[in-house]
This record gives sequence, C-alpha cells and structure tokens, in this order.
Amino acid sequence: MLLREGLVLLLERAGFDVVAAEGDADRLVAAALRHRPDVVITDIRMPPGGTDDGLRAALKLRSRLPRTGILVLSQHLSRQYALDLLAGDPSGVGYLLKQRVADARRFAADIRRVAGGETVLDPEIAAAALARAEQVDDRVSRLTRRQREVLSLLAEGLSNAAIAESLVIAEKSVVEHVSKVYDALQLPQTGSEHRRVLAVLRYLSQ
Amino acid sequence: MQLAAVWVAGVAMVVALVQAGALGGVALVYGFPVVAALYGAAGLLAWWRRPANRLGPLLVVGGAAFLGVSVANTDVPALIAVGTVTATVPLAVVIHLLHTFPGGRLRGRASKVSVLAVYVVALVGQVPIWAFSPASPPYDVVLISPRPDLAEVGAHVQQTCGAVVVVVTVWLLVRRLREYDSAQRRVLAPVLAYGVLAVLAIPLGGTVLRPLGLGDASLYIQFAAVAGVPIVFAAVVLRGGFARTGELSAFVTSVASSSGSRDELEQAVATTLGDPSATLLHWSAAHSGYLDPAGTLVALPGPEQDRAAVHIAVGDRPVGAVVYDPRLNEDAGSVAAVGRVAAIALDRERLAREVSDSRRALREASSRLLETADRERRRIARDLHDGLQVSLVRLAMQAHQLAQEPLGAASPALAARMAADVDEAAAALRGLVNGVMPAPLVERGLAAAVQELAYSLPVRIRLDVDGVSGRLPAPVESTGYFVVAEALTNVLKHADARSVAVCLRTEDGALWIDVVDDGRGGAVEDGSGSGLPGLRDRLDVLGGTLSVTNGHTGTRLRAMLPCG
Repeated sequence: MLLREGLVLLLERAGFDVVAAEGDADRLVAAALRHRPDVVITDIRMPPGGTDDGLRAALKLRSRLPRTGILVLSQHLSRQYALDLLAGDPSGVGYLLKQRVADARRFAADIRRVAGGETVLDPEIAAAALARAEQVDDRVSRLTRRQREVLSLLAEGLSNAAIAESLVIAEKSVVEHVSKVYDALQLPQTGSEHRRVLAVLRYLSQ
Repeated sequence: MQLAAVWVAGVAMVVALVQAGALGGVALVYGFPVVAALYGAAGLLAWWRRPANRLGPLLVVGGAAFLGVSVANTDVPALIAVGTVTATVPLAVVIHLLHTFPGGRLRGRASKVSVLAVYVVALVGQVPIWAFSPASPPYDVVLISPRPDLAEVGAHVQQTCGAVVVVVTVWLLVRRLREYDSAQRRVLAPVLAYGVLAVLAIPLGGTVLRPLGLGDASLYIQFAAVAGVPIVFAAVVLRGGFARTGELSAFVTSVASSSGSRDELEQAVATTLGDPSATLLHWSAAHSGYLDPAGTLVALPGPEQDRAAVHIAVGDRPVGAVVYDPRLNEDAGSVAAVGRVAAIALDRERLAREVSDSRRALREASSRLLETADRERRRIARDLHDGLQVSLVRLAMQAHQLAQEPLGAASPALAARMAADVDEAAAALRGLVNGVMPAPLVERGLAAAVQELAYSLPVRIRLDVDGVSGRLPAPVESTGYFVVAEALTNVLKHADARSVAVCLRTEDGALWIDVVDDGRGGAVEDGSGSGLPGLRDRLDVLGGTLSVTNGHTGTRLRAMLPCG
C-alpha cells in the first residue's frame, strides 16, 4: 500500500503516465487488459491469495498482452521465477528486487528498457547463479575473469552495447568475448540478443 | 495313592470298631462309614484329576467328618466323645461345599462369613445338646448334667441359627446363578438345589418324612440324599467343560478387576488351569518370537516334551502363548479358552504400555521442539541485533554526518556508501527471513522451494519433484523442506559427495522424501553436528518417520510425512 503510493509518485515524477494502481492481482489483470499499458509493474506476493498471485498475474498477462512489458518486483529473488517469466519469449520482461526502486533514476531506466522489449534481471540473480556455477561446473570455472564478467552481464539481460558500456570496452571486443563464452559453454546459438539471457540462465541453473 | 490307602484303612478300622448294637441301629451304624467312604473316594478322584479345584480336598474333609461322626458308635470313650461333639459338622461341610461350587473356592465376603457361621453353629451350637442331653453309659462321656430342658433350648437355638445360614446360602446361590449363562444354569441350578435339599433332609427328615409313614425307610432316604452329594458334585466338576467355564468366568472376573500386570495375569492363568507351572509368554513382532515376563526370548516346547503350548491371538494377530503341563490339562481346547481371555488382557497391557510409551515420547519430543524453537528465536534475535541493528546505527551516523556537514565534494560519495550499506543490510535481512521461512515455500510450495534451495547449493543435485502434486498442508511443506535442507547440509558438510539425488513424491496420502548421495557414507545420527534428532522430533509430531541408511558408497535418507 505504502509502496504502491510511493511508486505512483516516483513514476509520475520520472515522467511516466500511471493509468491504474490496483491492490490485488485479479484487479491488476482486469485493469491491464482494459488499459493495455506499455508496462505493468507488480509485486509477487499479492492479495487475494497472498502467495504468488502477482507472479501468476504476470504470466497470464505475458500470454494475453505480448506487447506489454512486465516488471515483477519481489522481496526475495527466485531463479525459478526468473526462468518461468523468461520462458517462451523473454523480451519485455523484468524481475527486480523491490529495493531497486530506491535508485529512482536507474529504476526508471529499467522500466524504459522493459517497455522497449529488453530483458532486465536483477544482478543478484546472475551473480548467485554464476557463483554456484563456478563451484560445480569446470567449464565455468575455467573462464577468464573478463569472460565471467561478460557472462554475468549476459545473464542480466544486457545487450552487447550495454555490456560494452558497462565494462568500458569496445562493442567489438564484447562480441568476441560473447562468442568465446558461447564456445566454452557450448551454448546453443539463439540468433537474438533477447533470447540469450534465457539460454545463459538455464545453463547456469543446471 | 498314599492318601487313598490311608483312607481305605481308616474306613475299614471304623467299620471294625463300630458296634451293631449301638444306639441308632444297623442303618445308622454302618450308614455313616459308607457315606464317609463315598465322600473320600469322590474327593480323592476329583483332587487327582483337578488339582487346582479345592472341591476334591473339601470332599475328603467331608468324608473325614462323616467318619468322625460314625465313631460315636464304638465303645471307646474318646472316640465316642469325638463323635458326639462333631455330630453336625458333616452338615456344615456340605454347606461349605455348596458355597465353593463349582470353582472350589469361597468367593465374596458373604460366602466366607456364612461358612464360618455354619461351622460355629455346628460346633458351638452343639454344646448344650451333648452337655445336657441325658445319655446312658458309655455314651455319656461328655454329659455334664442331665438337663433335658436346657438341651431342648440349645437344640432350638442351633436349628434356628442353622436355618438362617441355610436361607442365606440359598439366597447367595440364587444370586450367583445369574453370573452363568443359561446352558450352565441348566446344570448348576438342579445340582445346587439338590445339595440344599440334601442338607435339609437331615434335620427335617424326622419331622417331614417320618409322619408320611415311611418309617425306617426315611432314614435310608436321608442317607441316600447325603451320599449322593459327593458323587454328583465330583461328577459335575470332572465333566470338565462346565467346571472350566465356571472357572473361566471367575478368571474373567479376576482379570477384569486386576491392575493388568503380567505377573498377576500369569498367576490367574495358573490358578484357573490348576497348573502352578503354567507360564504366559508374549509375542514380540520385533524378535519374531516369544518373550517370557523377564523379556528373554524362549522357544516353545516341542511335541515330545512334557510341556505343551497353546498359541493365543487377538483376531489374526499373535499375542502370546500359554505353556502348561498337558498331564494336568488334557484338553487343549480348555487351555485355549483361558488363553483367549488372557490374550485380551495381554493385549490390553501391551496397548496401555504402548500408549504410555508414545505419550512419553511425544512429551519429550514436544519439549525438545520447544527448546529448538526457543533456540531459534534467540538466534534470530541475536542475528537481528548483531546485523541489522549495527547497520542501522551506522546508517544513522552517516545520515547525521550528511545532515550536519555543509554539502561538499565528499557528500555524493558518502550518500553512495549509505545506499550500498542499505542494500547490504537489506540483503542480510532477506537472508535471515529466507532462512526462517523461504519465500518460495510460502508462495509456491515445497517443490518450488526445494528447487530454489538446490539452485543455491554448491553441489550438483539431481532433483525429482514431479511426484509432488499441488500444495500440501503448511506443516508438511515446511517440515519436508527442513528435512531436505538438513539432509543437504549434512551432505555438504560431511559426505564429500560428488552428486546428490533428491526425490520428493506424494503417494498413499503421504509425502516421501529421499536424499541419496555418493559420498563417504557413515552419517552419524547422534552427533551434535547433525540436526537429524531435531528433524526426528518434527517428524514425530506429524506422525512421520525418518530412516538413515549408510552404505559403502554414500548415505540414503528417507522420510515419510502423512499429509492427512
């Protein structure tokens, strides 16, 4: 309740047009179907069930409104939820810790990325997945530090350009690194930047 | 045999001593020893065949009493004295017999008092009669003074008291008849009625039979009535089936009123079977054998041994066995009848023990669970205090610093550090909350939570959770989760395993959890490093089970939780 009101204020101040703010998952789905917004933002634990109602609403909207971006916020990150959200078409999906709202500028940027069809995964998911993979998978632990940095950013859903910007290197180098990582991990070629986040995350979750 | 020989010799000696010319005429003089011989013979037979039943010894005592009366007809003053003083004791013995029939034991206070009273009436009530009744030598050995008036008063008193005892006896017998079923009553009621009539035949013979014009024949009728008592009573007892049933009903009463201890039950079985050597064994499913009361495993006697055993069961379930002496109880069926009653009592004792054991175990488990919950609360409180509290203090200090200092070049860096610190504190809080109650467990249930747990552990886990259908009751989900978490923690800590398989499935109304690793094996259950005892307590409360088997290659943990 408090967070919803704060979020509405924050979004309006950041220049977004908030068409509806609903208190439960069923009304959220109804409002989204009515307004067909660019982005829907939802919590996972929501009334009426108080379990994963928000997540189920998000999955329902993914199939009903393929053009609407969905950003899911949660107190806690679950890799399985991420895989469920990304399954099928991972474009226009975001999954972030609730506290990311605090950094309003970055949060607004993430919303715009989701609205633009990009994938936004909380860095903690990628970090945790990579940390475990390094321990159980020789192929991951044999990667160079730079390759692992690239892999982590791939798992966050970043495009080559965004990875280049983040690591302050040339986009051409990023392409090389990505290709080496793909070879080392024997990942299937996806052809689209959107889909590779799912491939990477699936690989890291084996 | 020796007793029988003594008996025959005694009767023969009395017959030789008595004088045909004595007071009562031939009928009285030889009638008493003959009746005595019948009592003795019937008593010895019953005693031999039914050693536990006191009817036999009591019949022998009755015979001795008749023999005692008959010696009044000798010319030996001492014997005359004995005969005169005990003249009505045989009647008392017959009443005593009625009270103990058919079990051979006095039952209840009323019976005991009546029998005591009848002996007092017979011995004490007789005193005025022999002391004051005029008699001619040599039968006046105990005469104190010829006072017919006093003797008459005494006789009246004795008859009245005797009548009262007989009435009480009849009342008690009628009441007792109700304890038996109708088939038993059909045998018992005539036998007892006959016994009562035989008792009454003696005092009333003179007043009822003689006026009917029967003359001396009335005397023979009286003798026949009294002599028939040992034959009929011994026959009924020896017939076995009926007597057993009588004993069985006494056994049922004693078992029902007992405290239910094994010793007491065994004693009651031994008494009922008339076999002091009879023992009661109880079946132990754990040992697949019979245990004696001391808890030692014992073998049942074989067919060639001089012991026999009857298996006892409740329904199809074996409960125990009765081991007895087949010479004392030829009919295994009657032992089995006793055994069936004993089985129920034995089973009751077992159930009571199981209930009290499980109640104690539950109480102990609950108390351990309380301790665990308390420890857990302390840990959470400490973690919050040492972690979040410290972070908040540090953040407050940074915030104050930012508020008090004029905005300068250092401010953005300080604010950024604060933001990082907040993220760190939030992450710590998330970790703590997740440890207490994982979000996926609440949101999506056991399978999702275990899946998530597997993602977070640095070991390859083969996970099979497809067999879990839908949501399970919350206590089952959280306990199941902690079973898996604890098992995986143990694997990581001790097993040195390369891979672990976790399988969850719901089947037959229960959740089954298997955690199998390929590590060193030898998971210790009692070690302080292992949380297995705590898990066992949690499972116990839900009616679940936990088993840990150690092979050469790895450990298998299996838990079952009822979902109902």
